[in-house]
Amino acid sequence: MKTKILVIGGGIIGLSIAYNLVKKGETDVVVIDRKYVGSGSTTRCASGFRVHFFSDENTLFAIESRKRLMKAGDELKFNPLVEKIGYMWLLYDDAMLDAYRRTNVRWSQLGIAATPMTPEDVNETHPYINTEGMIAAYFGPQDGELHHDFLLFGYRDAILKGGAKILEYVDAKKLLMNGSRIEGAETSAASIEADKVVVAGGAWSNQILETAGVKVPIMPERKEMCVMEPMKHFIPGLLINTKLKSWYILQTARGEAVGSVDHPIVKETFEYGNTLEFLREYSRAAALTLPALRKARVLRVWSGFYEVTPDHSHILGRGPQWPENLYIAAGFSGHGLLMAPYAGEAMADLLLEDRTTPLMEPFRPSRFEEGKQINEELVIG
Amino acid sequence: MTEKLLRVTLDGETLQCAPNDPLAVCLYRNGVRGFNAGSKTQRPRGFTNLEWWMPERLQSEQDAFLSPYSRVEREGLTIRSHKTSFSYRLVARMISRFIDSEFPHRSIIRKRPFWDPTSRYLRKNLPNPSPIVVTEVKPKQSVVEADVLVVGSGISGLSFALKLKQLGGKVAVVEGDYVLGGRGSYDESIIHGLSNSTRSYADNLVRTAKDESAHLLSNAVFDGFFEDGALGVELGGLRADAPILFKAKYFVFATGLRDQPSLFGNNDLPGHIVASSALKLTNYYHVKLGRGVVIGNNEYAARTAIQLKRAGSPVTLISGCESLSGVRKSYLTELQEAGVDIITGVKQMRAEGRKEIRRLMADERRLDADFIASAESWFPALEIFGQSSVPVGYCDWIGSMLPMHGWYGETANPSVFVIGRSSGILDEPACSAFAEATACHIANKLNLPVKNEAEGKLDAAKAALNDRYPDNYRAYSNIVTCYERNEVLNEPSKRAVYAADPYTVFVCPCEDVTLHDIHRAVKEHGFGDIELVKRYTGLCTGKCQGKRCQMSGIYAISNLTGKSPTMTGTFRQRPMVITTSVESLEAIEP
Repeated sequence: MKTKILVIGGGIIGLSIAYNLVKKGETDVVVIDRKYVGSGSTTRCASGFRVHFFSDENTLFAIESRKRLMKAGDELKFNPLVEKIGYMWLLYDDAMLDAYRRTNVRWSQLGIAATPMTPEDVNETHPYINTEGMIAAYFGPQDGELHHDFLLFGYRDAILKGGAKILEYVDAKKLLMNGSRIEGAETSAASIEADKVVVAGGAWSNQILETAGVKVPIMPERKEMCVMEPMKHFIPGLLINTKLKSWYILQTARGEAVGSVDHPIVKETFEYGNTLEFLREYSRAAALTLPALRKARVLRVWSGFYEVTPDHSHILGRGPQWPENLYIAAGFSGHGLLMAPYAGEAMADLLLEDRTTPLMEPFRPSRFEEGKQINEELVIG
Repeated sequence: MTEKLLRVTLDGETLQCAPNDPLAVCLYRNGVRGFNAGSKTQRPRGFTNLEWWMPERLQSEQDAFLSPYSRVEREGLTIRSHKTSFSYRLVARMISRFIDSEFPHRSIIRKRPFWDPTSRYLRKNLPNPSPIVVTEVKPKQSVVEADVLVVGSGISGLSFALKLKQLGGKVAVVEGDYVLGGRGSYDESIIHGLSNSTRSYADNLVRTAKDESAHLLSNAVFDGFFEDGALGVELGGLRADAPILFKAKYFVFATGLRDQPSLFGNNDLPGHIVASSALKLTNYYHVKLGRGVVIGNNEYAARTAIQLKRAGSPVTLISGCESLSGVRKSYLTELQEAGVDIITGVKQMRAEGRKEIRRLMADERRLDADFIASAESWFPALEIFGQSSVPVGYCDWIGSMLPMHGWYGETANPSVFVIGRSSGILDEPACSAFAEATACHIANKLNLPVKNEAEGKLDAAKAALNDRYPDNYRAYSNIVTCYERNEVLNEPSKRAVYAADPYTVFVCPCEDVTLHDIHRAVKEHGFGDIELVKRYTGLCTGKCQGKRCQMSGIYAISNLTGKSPTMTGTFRQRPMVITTSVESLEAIEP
């Protein structure tokens, strides 16, 4: 099998790249996934989107991405159920409040000012929140949540209708090299020859990159999640308790409350599993922050992998020393879904026109050797 | 009965209830069949399964989100259902044909100018229960330690427990219901080959277990395997549920087979219940069900029909098959003696009624019915086997996915065993005999000081089943052979889906997923993978987590894709087994 561009990884990033390629007129694209589309981390994600980051690089990238996300329902055949419900950070210490206050000045300049709130404000507008010990809250009305699977299905549908291919249950085993050039990949089905290969394998990216002697600093970090039976919408947006191990929760359009709490990683293998420890931590934080959740019933729990980089920011493009024709779009550190719409477009530009957009430039793979890491500290979960 | 009845108020209406009956039984006794509305379509809904895991929700002032299986313990209990405002219901009912899985993706709705206000409206008006702030005593975790934890207190579970106890093993039995005995607590059929009924057989086991002071926990649920322990929950009914930590070397699942609602037109109407629940209501709670129809071509359908008829309900037994080929001769004779009407070869089936089932249209026939009992197919507690990485395969003789296991019920997970009906045996004496063989086998593994009698027991059990019920023996050996050879148990399914308007055939009653939705997912969107169908339709993601719809969903998808049920696969099973409140989880002390 031969193709112009091979995308390894059929998650939201891989499909967004392929979608943008098709949109720009390039239909000779093949996306492969070891299971069904989205089976890795996309379908396991918490489905929030935000524009509020501490670093300029991430914030600007997310703003671009959000613009495209807002138009997704108009462009695609699926409705990603985008809802601007906002993010609310509950703050408990002065250092934290200072950081938000400082960054909000910058956010205001960028047109995404967050709303500072006192505990009294919170009490008044959201009586269900326990404000004990809280000194302030910040509310980002530009943020929200969407249905991750529906966005993925929208991309999938457009890719297939556009004439490109998505091969499910095809596992990339090895990159095929000819001297210092990548010429495709060997897969569990058949070899696929390609002019260019993009690795969008999320937490698993290193497994395939290593077969070409390339390594990127991506660490898989297992996160557990929990979803509760539908309730009336009473939680303000995506609520984050910055004190309790960044416990967060949001209600989907259907009313189910999805959330997680940062819980020490038990294993470094790619094994999905759940722990009682997480359940206890999560429900304790839930009962403390929103006492009305005590009677809510947990439907199920699951786990998935964050693809964490040292600076909690994604890696896009290619390194100067890399074999030719090899590209990466991975390491999103938990921001894959919200960064995907723009990451896909920027990558498509790079693949088709060899053009690196200024917003994408700081996310180059070589930044770690150059010591130009992005200073991102606003990390959730 | 001379007991004083308790007063319960449902949505302002006063009902008389026998103390300690589950709320759902109390409703049924008072003639209330429907008490909730479908989540998307707002069509009237009752319950299909009268079980401890009932996914429907009621709400009382003090206790948010009550299970209808909570028992009536206090006078003047005030509960309310989750009916929405009249106008919302009216609109939803009017456009219910459009409210399918494709609804949000329709070209007008998905566009921003329409979607933004719509989503805001829905966020305000979705008919979900409201949160309740309560302050009360927090539940406490308990620990159950044993060599073997048996899940399920039916004939198999108790036979196993008694045998292992006798051999000197430490065993604990957990049962989700507050009544011990499993299906045996309400099934009064005469067991073929024995002179007593399932009920007296099970009652006897329960009595013996109590006499021998075996460790029996009723109202206790096995809630899931976690990396750092096995979780259970003690159901509190009107009070908070309390977590249990299970510490055991082996887990033996004797969870039986769950009856599954059949697929016919308007199968979501209140009054459609599964056969085991119809029997439970009739035999255990002595509720008069009225006229009815039993669907199925197997001995459990026959047994249900016979018992309902004897209890005074005029019953018709209906099957899509040309003859009652799945019913043993002895039951056929009993059916005739009891005077059950039989209709076979039905192709189209549709229930009718406005708020609840009034009649069933079977091809050209019109049958007046107050209830319809489904006994067509069953499936085991797949959520448990999925969680403990035990592979399952499709066995057409049972009509279900079954966990793959060896003769002693051993599985791919060395600490998990499966016995009884959930392993593929349907015959009560065989359930008992095989369970005892498993007990001997595990006793050897535990190094209990007993002489090895496992093999002898097993051989006797095999010979007896083959003698009594050769079809069952063949199907069972097939499962074991596949397990031993590490092959896939993979048979094509012959399961009936009765032709009807696909918009009205509900595969998943929690999330209102119809056959039409599944057809659209597979045929129009080309989702071949069961996980993608699940994500598009919401199948199996509702409150019952697939306990009612998993197998129907697999059938529906495999019919459309042409792949066999085994190849279609099951949904990825995630803990927990039942929905568990945050306050119970809060009390976990790992």
